Amino acid sequence: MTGRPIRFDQVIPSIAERDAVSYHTLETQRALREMGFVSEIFAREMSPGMVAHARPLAELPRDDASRQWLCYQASIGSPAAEAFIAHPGGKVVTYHNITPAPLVEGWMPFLGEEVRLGRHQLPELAAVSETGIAVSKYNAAELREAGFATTAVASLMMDRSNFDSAAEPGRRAELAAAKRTGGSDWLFVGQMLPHKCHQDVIKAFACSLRVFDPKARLHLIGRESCPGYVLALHRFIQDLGIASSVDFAGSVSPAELTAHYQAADVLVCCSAHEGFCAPIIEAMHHGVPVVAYAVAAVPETVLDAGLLLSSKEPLLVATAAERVLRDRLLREVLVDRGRERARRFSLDAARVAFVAALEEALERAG
Amino acid sequence: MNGPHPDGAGAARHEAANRRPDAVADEKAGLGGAEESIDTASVVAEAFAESARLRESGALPSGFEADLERRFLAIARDPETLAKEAAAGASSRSGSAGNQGSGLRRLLPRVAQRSRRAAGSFAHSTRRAAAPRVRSIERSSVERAGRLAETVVTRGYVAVDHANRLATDRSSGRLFSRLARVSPAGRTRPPDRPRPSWGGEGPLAGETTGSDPANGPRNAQRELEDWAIERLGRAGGGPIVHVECGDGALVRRLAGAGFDSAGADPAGDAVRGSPAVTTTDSVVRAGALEFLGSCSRSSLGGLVLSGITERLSPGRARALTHLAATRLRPGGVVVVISAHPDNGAGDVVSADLSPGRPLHPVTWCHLLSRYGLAELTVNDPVGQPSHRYAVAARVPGAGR
Repeated sequence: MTGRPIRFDQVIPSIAERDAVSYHTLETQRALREMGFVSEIFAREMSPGMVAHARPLAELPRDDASRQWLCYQASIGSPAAEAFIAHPGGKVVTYHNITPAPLVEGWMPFLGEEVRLGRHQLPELAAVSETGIAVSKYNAAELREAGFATTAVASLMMDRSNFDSAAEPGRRAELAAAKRTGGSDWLFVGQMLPHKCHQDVIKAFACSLRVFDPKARLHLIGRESCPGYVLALHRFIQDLGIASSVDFAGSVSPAELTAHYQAADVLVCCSAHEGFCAPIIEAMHHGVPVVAYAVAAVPETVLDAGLLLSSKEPLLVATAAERVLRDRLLREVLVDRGRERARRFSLDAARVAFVAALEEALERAG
Repeated sequence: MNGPHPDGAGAARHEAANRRPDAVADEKAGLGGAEESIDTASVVAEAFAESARLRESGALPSGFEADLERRFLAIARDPETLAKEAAAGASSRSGSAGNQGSGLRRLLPRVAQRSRRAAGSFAHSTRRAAAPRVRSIERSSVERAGRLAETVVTRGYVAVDHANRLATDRSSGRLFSRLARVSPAGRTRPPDRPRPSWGGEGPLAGETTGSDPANGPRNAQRELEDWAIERLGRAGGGPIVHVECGDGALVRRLAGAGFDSAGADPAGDAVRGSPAVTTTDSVVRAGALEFLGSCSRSSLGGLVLSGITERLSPGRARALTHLAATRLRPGGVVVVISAHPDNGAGDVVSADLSPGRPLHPVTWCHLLSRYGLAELTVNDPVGQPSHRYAVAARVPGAGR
């Protein structure tokens, strides 16, 4: 490879609205263009709303390595990785983590296959890539395990509309009306997928209703990506007799999400696996204290700005949440630390880290 | 399940929690350095101890937590069946006859939830019901304002273009009146010749820009022009105009192919000195924006844009595309011919829409589609020594 490339395109298995990896890809494109590269996004699948932002993978230009580099956004197994590997240009990989197959394959066998393929493709990506850029140190460690000789950490470029949107007035009024009846508002934000373990949040919430706050409400926000799992959750809350206290809000707009963050008293996360967990940072930005199960990249994201639990025992989670709700000093300290932590994950900081990692890779390639 | 607190302490804690958010805000000033001394690990350890104490004290019925786990596992023991039931529930909601029971089971909690919301805030529901209409009105108003602003801006660019050249050749008047006389169906393009044959022979051979088609390989420019003529042959009739036509060679080729063609170019000397221009009313001395701004709406059957396409500021690019889209008839075809911005090894084009630069084909596609043109096609012969490309698009409607 000689000289600086002219093009720096991105390859992504699929691109969609309201998706953290997709948003990161769009921001990466912006950063690449600001670096002076011609940069386009080539996706194997795209949702209708993203047609204007991406081109079909089949149209990926095949230039030589001195003119064109590629960045692959790895979050799942896909034939797009094979197209990326076979391309003659220089390469870097951005790794968003891939959920371990055992956590999802029982509910979604096809997704299990895809994530298994993704993990299988990582060493192949390592063999052809100049560097692996991870959105967390945890992910960087996984990249090194997969064989990446060089890694860098550049945090996720998050959708600022989830931070800065004005709250949707209707939803805000609705939540405020509910709050006036008393009780605290628990919140969890994340796609309804098995590894997010909504059932563990529900179990803790059921304990809290029983022991601490019978008027509390639980809001579960996120796309219902696994219908069987969602049905099981509905049946679970009916079986427990707490259906009237649990709100399945589904996928919401940024403005509605802001309304939920503003109304929430605590964010409770019991996920079994997270490569970064953007909702934690969003909650911190909105001044919502966080109680989370310490697994994968979650401790790195939370640090000391939330309560990290080493167990998901329902009463322990409920007690920790209640402590955050009850102890005003603790709450305010967590809110302050959370806001500070959220500032460190600003778009500018993430972009600077990404650009630095990329420049280093280009320099190494000569 | 939602029973009363097991003890008075729980109620007291609950009361304290409800008092928390705002009532204590003004106490914050007195917190001092205590904030920094809080160790979350210690707090978690205390939470562990507290939860153990609650268990021992019987705050929860014996085996309550294990029962939660058992109940969920019982429900989730067969994910495959759940997935099928969820799918059946979805289909029953959409009108399918089968498995309505499971569909209802899934639907009922949502209905109940919505009912609670509606009962909780009727006024809010009313506002929400009206919200789509309000949003629609807002959206259409914004769109109208946007269109108006765009038209004003485009007219500004036209005026600037006009002022830059100071005065238009007298022949423009004759050309405009000639365009106005053209019948809606297009009067001159022969219906039996939709796609002219350009093989390098025939009466027009040798009239291309700088090529020797009879004795050498067809050059890239001529191939692009051939492609443009083929695309223009798909238009639904009406005059074809080449803006920034240079010496008018393509205008003449188009005329030779049976199109009612004309050209415009701001360089009067080039137009007058052109051996290719044989009729004074075929080419007008006018800038691209100036010329298009003077044409009536939906008056042109086809449009070839070149020259100006290589030195556009973002605003001028939008104005040019706006004018092209509005001056073409339904079915009309526009062909953009431009140098490729990647042309020239090592010269990185940092941004497509930087002033005075050629655009990428994909940028033209974006612009043209943004202004309502469709059937976008790109002819991008990568590897040519002088890398040029063409993009064609058509106004939706009649045509071939």
